[in-house]
Amino acid sequence: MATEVTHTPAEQHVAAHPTPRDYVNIAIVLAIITAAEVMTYFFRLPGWALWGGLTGMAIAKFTLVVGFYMHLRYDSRMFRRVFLFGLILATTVFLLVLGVFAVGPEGGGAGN
Amino acid sequence: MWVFLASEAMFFGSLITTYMLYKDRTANGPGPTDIFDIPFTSVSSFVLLMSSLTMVLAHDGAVKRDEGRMRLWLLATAMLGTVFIGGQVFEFTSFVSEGMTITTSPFSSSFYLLTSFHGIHVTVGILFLLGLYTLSRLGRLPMEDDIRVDMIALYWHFVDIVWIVIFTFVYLIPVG
Repeated sequence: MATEVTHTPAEQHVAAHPTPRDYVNIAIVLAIITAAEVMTYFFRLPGWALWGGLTGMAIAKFTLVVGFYMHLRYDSRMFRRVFLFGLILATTVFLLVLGVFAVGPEGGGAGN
Repeated sequence: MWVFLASEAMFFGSLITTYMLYKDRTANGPGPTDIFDIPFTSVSSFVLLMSSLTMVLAHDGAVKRDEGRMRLWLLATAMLGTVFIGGQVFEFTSFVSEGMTITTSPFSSSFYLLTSFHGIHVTVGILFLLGLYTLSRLGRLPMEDDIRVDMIALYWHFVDIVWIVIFTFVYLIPVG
């Protein structure tokens, strides 16, 4: 006769998370992306490719660390929303300020 | 903790914005292309990235109630963090010797402000890690509750993702 196995919340918490092997695999992917980022320094790339490529790779690394290492993928949606709210707010303010300075009387804040 | 990290995202967002605005204002002093040593900073970045792996392994040890494994990885994380800070101190020293101090230009001021604040966050993280290790050694870190290790791990990973952004937008793009 089969007995029903019940798991404590702590055991379910453990079961939901990746294994150490998964963490090492993620670290390998992060290392490969970092190596690809550094390679851009040794090759002359056009501005759009440099910006696009590096931003894409930074977002990929950011997402991997936040999703797996900070276990946001496995946590309550509320945590995800709180973190994303801060992130989106910060990025919006960042872009607005840059935009204002770019079209302002100083013209991009450049110059010596 | 997540609310705190969201506020930290705002804090670093403002510092990165300031840097982006002033990165071309070198006041005839050294600029990003003259001063940054990308291969060296890449190694530092790699070290900090790998410290996130050791931190998550420490947390995994805490979740699985393996105190010995948790302590080992906590120490490894603290050590990698210390290597990163050592690299930053070396980098700052070389920049100063090449004539870039905090008062040289708006670029240098914003660069030192951003990277120093990140360095302070890493240093605080190292102290937290050593604190956890000491508590565990003294038997004052209850293994049935891994929340403290989880909180420090979240903080440490956040410091790592801030560096991911800094490395791309402060170091790589300006010299690309």
